[in-house]
Amino acid sequence: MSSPSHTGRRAAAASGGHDIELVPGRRELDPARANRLDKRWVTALAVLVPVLLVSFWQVAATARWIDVRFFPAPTQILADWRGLLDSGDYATHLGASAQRIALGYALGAAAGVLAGLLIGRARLVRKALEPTIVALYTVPKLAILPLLLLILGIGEASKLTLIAVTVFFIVLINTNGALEAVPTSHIEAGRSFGLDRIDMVRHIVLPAASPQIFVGLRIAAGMAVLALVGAEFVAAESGLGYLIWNSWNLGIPSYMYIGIVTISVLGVLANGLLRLAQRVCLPWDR
Amino acid sequence: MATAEPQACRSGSVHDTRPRIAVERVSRSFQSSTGEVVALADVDLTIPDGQFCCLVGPSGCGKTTLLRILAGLARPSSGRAVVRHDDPRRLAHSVVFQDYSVFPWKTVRQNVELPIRARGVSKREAAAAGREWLRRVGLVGFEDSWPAQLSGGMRQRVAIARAFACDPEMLLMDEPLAALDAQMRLLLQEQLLALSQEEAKTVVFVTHSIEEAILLGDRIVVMGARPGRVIADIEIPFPRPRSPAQVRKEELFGELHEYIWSLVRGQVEDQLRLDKATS
Ligand SMILES: Nc1ncnc2c1ncn2[C@@H]1O[C@H](COP(=O)(O)OP(=O)(O)OP(=O)(O)O)[C@@H](O)[C@H]1O
Ligand SMILES: [Mg+2]
Repeated sequence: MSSPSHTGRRAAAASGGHDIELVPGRRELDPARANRLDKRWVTALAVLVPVLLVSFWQVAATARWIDVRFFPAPTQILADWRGLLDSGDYATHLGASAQRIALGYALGAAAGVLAGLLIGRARLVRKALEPTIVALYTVPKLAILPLLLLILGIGEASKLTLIAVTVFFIVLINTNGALEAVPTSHIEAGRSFGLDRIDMVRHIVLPAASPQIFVGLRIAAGMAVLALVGAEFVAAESGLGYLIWNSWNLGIPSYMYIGIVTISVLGVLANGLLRLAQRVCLPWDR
Repeated sequence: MATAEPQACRSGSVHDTRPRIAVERVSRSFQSSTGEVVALADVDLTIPDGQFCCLVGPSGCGKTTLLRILAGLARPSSGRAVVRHDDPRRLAHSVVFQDYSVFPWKTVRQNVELPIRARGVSKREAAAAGREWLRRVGLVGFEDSWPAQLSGGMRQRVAIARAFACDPEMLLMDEPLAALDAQMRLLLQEQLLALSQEEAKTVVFVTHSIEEAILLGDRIVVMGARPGRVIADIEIPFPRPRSPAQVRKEELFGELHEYIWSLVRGQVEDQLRLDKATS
């Protein structure tokens, strides 16, 4: 048998005359370089795919393969976006939506986590409320918008409430589930060290439950966008939802695309922000 | 003070001769879909202050159940258990559990300091006591690590340091070394022996290893299964302070081991027969 020609593991096995040689690959020989190349490729692809899609769209629109009344060329959309920017309308719509979603989400999330902790720690209360919560959770939140408009009027309050309620139930249910999943061994360890109720929540229950709570927070962020757009479609004079809906009335389809892309960018940003928050808040959870 | 001065030999409280633990006719049964399991039946057990008492017995004989009752995490179905609690500012007991109960969201340091801080001890004092105990179990340099970054043996040492550091009046340990490899186990046995000899504390120690029980204990209580009960109560005559190497050389060590094994073995064999009969 030949001796290894380079550093690294080499094994050989005779199996009917065909030796199987196990040697280090490119990745094993220079892991740092392989990772660097990997990263470059992944980044390149992540950028390349949308760029290609948009280019294809541009070509298709210019060549009139597609109906530009419904699918205006990206350059056209960009030009209309410039116009919206210059008039200040874009900032108004973006600002209105961002404010609604930030406030509504913060309210709903905070209330959801708090209520989840309170209910989750009191068995009797939880058993009493569970069916009601599930029933309320099941109601599509947009269905209560007319009621909210009736009670709170057409102003900001109704939209904030709709978003907050949407977020509240998702976060509440996830928080409850998270509390149920906290290992008893951790709870009992806490109890045996004589922690009081507040310390128990602060040092044991909340940290143990927080990875799952964060999952709820992330799902809720997506649903909050849905509620926002829905509310702005029917009951707003500003906001990205209004921009999209109104572009139909005006017959300017590029505004729809501007609104849609902005919303999806908002969603990606929110998700990234929550991921970052999770990494900062839960450095132990890798 | 959490870091008591090391004492050369263990001695109970001079003032109070009441036992640390008095278990009187304690029974505990569990209802399940397949019927009733009697985990403990009429257990009587008195453990004097300062004693290192080992519980051995076949799997399912109620060792953990008994320990959980002593820890206040479960209640007897009948009978009563009294655990002495002298100083309300200290914990009556702290527990090292069978499965890891180190909190993954706290660093090693925070894990050890939590129960000390929960007693209302100042931050500085808690930090000092925590540092001292981490030194004693050999975890210097890992104070700020997350438990996920430690080996199983290191995590279990955190649990042990945490239990000692809050200076409870008594320690309850449920197979604290069971999940470790053989070498780590020997090492931790030595450390536990040294720690228990420095601190004159009552310890109730559950283990499956007869050897471990003889090395560490002043006394071995052998339990039998179905129903869980005490079937033998043996004094370990080796004087303290002692070391594992020293004890293993004693002639009596082998005899004790053989005797206790014969008791446990009978139990295990009975259990196998029972299992066959019911299946
Ligand atoms: N919460 C519970 N519900 C139902 N049965 C239980 C419960 N806890 C313990 N038991 C039963 O009680 C008996 C004693 O259990 P226990 O955990 O005390 O045994 P053990 O001596 O600690 O065993 P091991 O050495 O395997 O840890 C077992 O038969 C077990 O099935
Ligand atoms: Mg057990």
